[in-house]
Amino acid sequence: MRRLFCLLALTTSLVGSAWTLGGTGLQGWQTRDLVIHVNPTGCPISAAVLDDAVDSAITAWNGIATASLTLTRSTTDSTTTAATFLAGTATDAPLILCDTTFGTDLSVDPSGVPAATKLGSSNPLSYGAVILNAQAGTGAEINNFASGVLDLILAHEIGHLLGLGHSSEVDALMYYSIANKTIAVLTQDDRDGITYLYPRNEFEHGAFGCAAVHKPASAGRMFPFVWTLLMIALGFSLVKYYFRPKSEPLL
Amino acid sequence: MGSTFRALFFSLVLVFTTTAIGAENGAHGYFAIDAGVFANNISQRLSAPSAYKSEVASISGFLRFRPGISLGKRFYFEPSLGFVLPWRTNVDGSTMIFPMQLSLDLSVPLLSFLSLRLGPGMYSELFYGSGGTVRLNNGSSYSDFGAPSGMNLSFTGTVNVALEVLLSHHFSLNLDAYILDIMSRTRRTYHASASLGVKL
Repeated sequence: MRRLFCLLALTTSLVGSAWTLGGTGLQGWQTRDLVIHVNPTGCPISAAVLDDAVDSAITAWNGIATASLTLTRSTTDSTTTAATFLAGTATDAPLILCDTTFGTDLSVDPSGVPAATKLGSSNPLSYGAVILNAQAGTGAEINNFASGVLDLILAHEIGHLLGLGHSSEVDALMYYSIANKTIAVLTQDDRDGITYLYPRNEFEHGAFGCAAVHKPASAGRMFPFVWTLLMIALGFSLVKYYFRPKSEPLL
Repeated sequence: MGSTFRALFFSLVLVFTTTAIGAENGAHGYFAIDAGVFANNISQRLSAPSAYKSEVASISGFLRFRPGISLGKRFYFEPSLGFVLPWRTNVDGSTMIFPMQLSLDLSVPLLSFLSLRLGPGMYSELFYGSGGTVRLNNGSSYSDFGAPSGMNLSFTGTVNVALEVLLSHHFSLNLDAYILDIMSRTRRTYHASASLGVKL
């Protein structure tokens, strides 16, 4: 047995995980059904291209079975501008929007940064946006990127919007650079980060998610009932088990 | 967190209740220990570009405890709890993830040496982080990011399908498939295990 534990301890270093959170103790968004609002005004790409890129990024994050998170894009365009968001008065966060004075507003080099994510200070999160570089003539203006790269940029930034920080794993979507990537693929590292922030719990709305699928009004009340029955069954069977005749086999 | 522990306890109650009921009825049964390999995210691995295949999925060790309780001449109820080993850990060891698979399967013999196992289950991941900050490259400079702190637990319902090939009276080969979120076209995920079982 001691050898087995030693072997396990040695092999733990074989599998890595490197994700981080956007802030210390960050808990993600309060709601698990998050609607992202998009404002295409001022973007150097068409609204349709932007919507496609957002949908592609959302699809990537929605495919994690162990997480309870469901992202959707609002079907109506937001009218919130970058200035309104940065002033802290936006009412439809989370947002994706373009900023024509990107470098000045975010104090970053617009020739090297295609997008940035800003989160509010509340925890759980209730305020945040992905701000795209729409500053004309800069090297990292989003119309300089092919659609596949734009998908990658948005998927990475939505990861930040959800509460993830950077990862030290080079292949992870949340690695700081997307230079070696061609497609938005979530690695195990990215999946672990989202599962930590938004863990799925099949018991939240009834046993094994049945109630979560059907969403009956009584879902929340069923669990205590089933729970009580099981506790009674457990107690009964354990009492009978411990007071069984000695001659009966254990199994 | 209260509901999380309640859910974990609920799972254990199911296993112990059924085991105890079987035992107090004097049911014929066995206790098996399975050891083998566990592969996760199989469909994601198959659809990922070749450069990413080893990053979206992994193959790990698997250790499972599987009592079998006779429900008559042909059928066995087999609640089991399996652990994926080694658990995942980050570079500095401050975050650990312990994947587990709980199954409540019914075993039906197909041939004298072959059994089919079917049933519901639950794939769970226990996260434990010691907190603090991590300094990482942020593009043009380095920034501090938060490391996970405390404990978190996820539960995902599974549908299990398995074949057990009896190699002898005490040994068997088990091939298990676990389908997570079977009702969702976008989230459906396949895990699988292959293990050698020893019946005590």
